[in-house]
Amino acid sequence: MLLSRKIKETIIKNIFFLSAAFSILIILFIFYFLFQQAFPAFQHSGLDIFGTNWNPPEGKYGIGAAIYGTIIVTIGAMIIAIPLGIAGAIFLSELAPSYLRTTLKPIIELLAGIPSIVFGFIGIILLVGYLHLTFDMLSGYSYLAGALILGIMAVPIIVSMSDDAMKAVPREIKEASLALGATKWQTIKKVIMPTSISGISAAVILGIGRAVGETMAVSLVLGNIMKIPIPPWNIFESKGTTVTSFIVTEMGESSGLQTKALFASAVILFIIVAIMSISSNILKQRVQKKFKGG
Amino acid sequence: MQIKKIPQYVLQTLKNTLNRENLPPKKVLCYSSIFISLVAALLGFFSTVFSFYIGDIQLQIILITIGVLFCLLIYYSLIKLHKRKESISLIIFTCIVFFLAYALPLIPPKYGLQQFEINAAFLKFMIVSILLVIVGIFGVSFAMKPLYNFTSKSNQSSAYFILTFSLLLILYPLVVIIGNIMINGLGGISWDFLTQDVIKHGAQGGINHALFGTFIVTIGTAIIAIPLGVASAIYLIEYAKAGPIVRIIRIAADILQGIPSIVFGLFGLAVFVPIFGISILSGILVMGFMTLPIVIRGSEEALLCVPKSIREGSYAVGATKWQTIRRVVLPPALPGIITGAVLGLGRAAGETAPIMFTASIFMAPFPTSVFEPIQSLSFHLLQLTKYIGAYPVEQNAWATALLLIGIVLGMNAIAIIVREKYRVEF
Amino acid sequence: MFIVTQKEKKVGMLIITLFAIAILTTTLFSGCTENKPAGTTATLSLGGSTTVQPIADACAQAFMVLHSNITVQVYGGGSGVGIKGVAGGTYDIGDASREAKASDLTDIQGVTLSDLVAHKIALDGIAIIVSKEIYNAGVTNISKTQLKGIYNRTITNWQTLGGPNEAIFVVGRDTSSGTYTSINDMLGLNQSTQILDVARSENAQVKAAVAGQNNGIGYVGLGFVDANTPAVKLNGISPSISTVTDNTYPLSRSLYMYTKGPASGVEQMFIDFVLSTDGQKIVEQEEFVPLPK
Repeated sequence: MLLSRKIKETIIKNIFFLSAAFSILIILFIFYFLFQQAFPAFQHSGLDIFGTNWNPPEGKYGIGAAIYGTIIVTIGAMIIAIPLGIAGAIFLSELAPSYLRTTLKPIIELLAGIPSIVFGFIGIILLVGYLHLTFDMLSGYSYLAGALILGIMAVPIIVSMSDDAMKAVPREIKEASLALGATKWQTIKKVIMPTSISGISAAVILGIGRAVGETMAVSLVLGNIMKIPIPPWNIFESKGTTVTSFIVTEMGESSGLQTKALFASAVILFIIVAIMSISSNILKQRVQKKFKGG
Repeated sequence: MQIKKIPQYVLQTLKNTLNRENLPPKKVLCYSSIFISLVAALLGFFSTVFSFYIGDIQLQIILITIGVLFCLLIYYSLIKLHKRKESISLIIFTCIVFFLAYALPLIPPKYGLQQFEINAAFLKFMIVSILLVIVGIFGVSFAMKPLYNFTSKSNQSSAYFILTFSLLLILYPLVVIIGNIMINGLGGISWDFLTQDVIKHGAQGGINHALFGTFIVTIGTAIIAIPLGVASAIYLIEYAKAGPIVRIIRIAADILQGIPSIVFGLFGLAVFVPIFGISILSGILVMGFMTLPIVIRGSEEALLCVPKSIREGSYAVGATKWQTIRRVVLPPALPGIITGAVLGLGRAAGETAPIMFTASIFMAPFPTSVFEPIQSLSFHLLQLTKYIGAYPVEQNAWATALLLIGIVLGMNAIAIIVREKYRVEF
Repeated sequence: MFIVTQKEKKVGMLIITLFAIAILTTTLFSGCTENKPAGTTATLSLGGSTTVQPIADACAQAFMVLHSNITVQVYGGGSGVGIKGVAGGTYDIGDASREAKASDLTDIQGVTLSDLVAHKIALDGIAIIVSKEIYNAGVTNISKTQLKGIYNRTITNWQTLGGPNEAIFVVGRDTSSGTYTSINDMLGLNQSTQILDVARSENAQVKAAVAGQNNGIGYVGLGFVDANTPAVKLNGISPSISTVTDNTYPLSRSLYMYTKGPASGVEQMFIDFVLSTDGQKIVEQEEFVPLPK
């Protein structure tokens, strides 16, 4: 009886272990199959895949322009999202009276859940026309539109996570600062911000990760041409694309090596985002250790 | 409860402020300066909106003139109260802004910033709107100083003002988005819209198949992600001892959570579509994998919230580990687990990229097995977005967007409500 | 040993039954479609070119009304996907707005170009559409050379073509689409010389992008021309059903449905339907050009 009970326990434990290990399996699966699909393209182009010459009929598969576009759009989005997000988080965690906080926090978290296709729809129907009219651009399709949309999308994430990080700062530290005669703002600036900086960085990295990987919203408002605009900082020109957006526009009708090249860009995307998630996680763990250790 | 107190509080403050003894001329000056600067900042902020509806850059120029003149007036009157030096530097700053707003666009493109390919109209926008906002904010912070007799408290008040203003900036686009969808979408939702199939490329008819498809995909995702996710969390929290394997599992779950949805889509296209075809099954497998880390995270947090003492009590009366988990740990953790699961499913219901290559097509009959393709709301909205301008689909697109937002935000709201309630109880 | 309460038993049973029902229904349903003899119930899948898709959608709906026992599924994707899909067995019929190329089949082993049978189902003209404002300002006719000039950026202002002093906003399709390839072939351009401002992945998006501007030009299937995005004459010939049919319009092409080997069974029925008078009427309703009799 005792033995069977033990066996049962072991079986159950192993079932749980297998399901936990499944996540690892999925990651390996995804990486393996994407890489398997992409391998011919890597083999064909070598390091030229990071070049800027995209010309499938001539066998040139450089996605450098899309990588450049991803970087530009992400930087633009972060210029909007980081200051706003951190300011919003300070307001929520330190300033807002409790009733305001309990209503605003869930609302902002809700907004983080708006599906990206809805942002794309709004981008097409409101933003593109607005930019075209207001800024007298050749068209509204541009890096600027992409950066604005991504910035708006990333703000709720950064607010919500930075707010958590600031709330995690122990009370005693704050009270000690206030007891020394510092004003609340001085406490925020000199005590709370430095202590929660790793948590805030984790939030920012997560926001960047989302901006890099966002697909539907961006693909609808960009020009989707695999070229670096002239001059490269020209965010008003419609030429330009991001990795995700290029994959989604070209995948439907591509064939042969071109498809493989799109898979190759997905592999590159995967690696970039994986590095970001890991570093965000390390930062988050550092926060936990810091406050647990005292 | 607190909300009821607000009108009382406002009345009280008004009474106090209007009380003559509380209102020396210095304070009146400061408060009115703050008010005017605030108006200037708001004018700058909303001038872009006005220009969208009126489409006139000149209007912005007028706005900035009003704003800057008001600010100059304040600064001048504030000089009479205190530090001359600071006020003069602010006046110079405002004048520069004022000058730039008019002068910069007048510089010939050859010599101006346009030679760096910076759009002329964008320049005007930057100067007119953003600088006006800055002038306004400076005005407020400047006017606050005398109120607190130049102590560090005045810095605090202006910082608070800027923070509050940025919250407005955060909420503004989101209010615009949700508001527009509500206003334009409500008119399109009718019984026919909900119960008809797509007619004429979505210009007429409705979304019944798409609604059903989203429902099926969400249910399917739940069947895959919830058992796996909860089991993983139980292993991580209850069984695993800290060690390399656990760390690797955690890292894997984190990476999985960060993977862009389009990568999941391509994965499904490469692995499941060759086996199952473009079908419900391929879609829910991909969605399930995508949702898994969210469920794991939510369940982990819920399990961690259950105090250790409860578990030890159970072991003390001779229960096995599995019995303890099932009878003692899981029941109180259930609301938290549900929260995580619903949050994950909410994401699954709204995602497009993972299913656009694996499960969804624009026109599909009701499926009879899991090996058939399906319509879904998000994919339907994508297609309608592409058709806007080509076919008269705008009305239906707004309505679809409203429905999609309603479903996704509704699910998130349920999750958040469950979590909040549960937090209070613990 | 274990004390299982009544309630837990019930819940457990409920979960088990639910799972059983779920598994049963899925297997039953999938069994249904597979086991019944062909002719009583059958599924036909079409996929490929987004240009052909409106015809395929409409024909599928009409076909299913005629044959209630046959389910027709229409997938999008693009010409390349259609040809690859029919060769690889994903689709029964592959739609394409261009002829199949050997490069479409590089991934698929054991299928050569000669295994695919092309069924010409309709004709299509690629119309050059411009923004209303441009059309009203007098740009109603351009030559093929001018068009080439616009797409390779030797002409960048509408003034050159007798229009207003506005930059030309050039809209086109993504590099892997059939229409993009067709335009390159017809105008003698290639990937590096067709320079676009904006590339869109569907005809409808091209039309929307041109309609949303006052300075745009783009190319779409004949069915997408209307008052918002008027089509200009090319070499003096306006795109219409008659000019495409007699092949005087310079940018004409054929639309195909591909089958692997000669069409048989349901495939044959569907293609026959598309080629029948009713089918060609649908082609015309969807604003494509029916095959000459």
